Amino acid sequence: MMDERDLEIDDLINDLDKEYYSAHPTANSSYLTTHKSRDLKSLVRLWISERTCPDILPYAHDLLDTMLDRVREQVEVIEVNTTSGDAGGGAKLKLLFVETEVERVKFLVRGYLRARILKIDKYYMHILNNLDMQTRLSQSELRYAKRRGNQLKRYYDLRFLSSLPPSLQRLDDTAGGLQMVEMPDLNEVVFIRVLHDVPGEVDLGNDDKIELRTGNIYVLPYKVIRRHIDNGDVQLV
Amino acid sequence: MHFSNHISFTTMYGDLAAKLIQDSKRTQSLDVLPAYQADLVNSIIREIRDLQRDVKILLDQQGPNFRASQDRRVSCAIFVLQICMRRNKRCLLAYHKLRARRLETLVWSGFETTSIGSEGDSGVALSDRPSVASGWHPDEEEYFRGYGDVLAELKGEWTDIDLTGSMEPPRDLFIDVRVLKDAGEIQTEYGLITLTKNSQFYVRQGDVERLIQQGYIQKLH
Repeated sequence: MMDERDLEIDDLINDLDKEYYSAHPTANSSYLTTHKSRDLKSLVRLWISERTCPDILPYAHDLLDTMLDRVREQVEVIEVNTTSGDAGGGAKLKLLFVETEVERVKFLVRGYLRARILKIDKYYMHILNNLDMQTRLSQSELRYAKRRGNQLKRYYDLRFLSSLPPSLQRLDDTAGGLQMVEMPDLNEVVFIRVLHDVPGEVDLGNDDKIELRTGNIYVLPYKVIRRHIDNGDVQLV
Repeated sequence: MHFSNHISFTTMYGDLAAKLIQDSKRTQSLDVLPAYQADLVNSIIREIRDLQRDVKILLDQQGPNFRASQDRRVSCAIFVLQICMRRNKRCLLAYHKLRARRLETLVWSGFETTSIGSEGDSGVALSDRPSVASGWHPDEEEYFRGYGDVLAELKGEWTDIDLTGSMEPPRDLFIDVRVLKDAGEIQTEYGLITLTKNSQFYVRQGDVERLIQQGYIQKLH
């Protein structure tokens, strides 16, 4: 048996994965071990970006699907090994590590989704009126925004809106120069790190231009680098 | 001025709405959602309608050929009335939005009536859960339930994650807890635990998350 003090958590988890995948030859273990830590890093980055972004970022379908599949697999690993009964001290410890990792991934995904829901709740009217915003949400998020919007409309209608003169019944007025619909402030200044050189220069308005070089950190208005955040050239920090 | 008798300055237009905003401000600092101000809301709706009627009277007096640029006194009066109406509407919206958000927060925190039965797997007696607070308008109870359904559906699509789970980063799988009130038995992977008042356990956080939120047990540090 290995000396537990010298064990690295990742080694342990990989070890356990190997055991699992040798028992389930259809699963591709070499792919997983090389991509796992990269995906976890992407998830952490995604979670941070979503929390610092004034706008709603495009929903990360692929990464979320991958991470959720992995959570399910790991839960299976835990269950298979707990029920198999041969849980000696070492195996037990390994299981605890897998479980700890599962909890961490679950927390990150939860934090990511909750950060999005917070913004969806705030900007729902803008989302429902704007197709570009809708493409940034997942099906499930869009359905949530619509259903909540309907409930909210019903509540407002019942309480006061339907009793007002028809000209005042709208929830998305712009009359009188006042914008009723709350929308993300795209002028908000954000911190970004450049992950890949951006070809050409970014126009900052007022004849100001800036070149985005890999590894550099800039403070810029969100709207001028929105496109580069969406395609992954720069990252919010 | 032939239209002055329609605008009475004994009580100022907008006073009622200001009261509603004061109540909203108070609500923000309270832990409990205070009673719904039905009378005030109705008075403000009535005020908006009165204002609308005044606008109509003014316009009717001018006849069909009225142009805003011709009579600046009249167009100014209409402008002021319109602004008062819109301000009242904004105040109504602000008040109801605040209350709706508070109701949503309650749904998220597990103060839910819709989940009875579906969340029964923890084996908790649900009878002594907090019930819907008094002072809510029936339409608010409806919104509370309606939003509860919307959230339940969203949660149902994320069963692996537990959307309403803790937003504290997980540090330990196992935690020390003290039981604050009898919570029945829970099934864990290490067997059955009977949670009787004042007892202490070392349990898996995931197994008792729900009970912590509901105030049955307390996390010890």
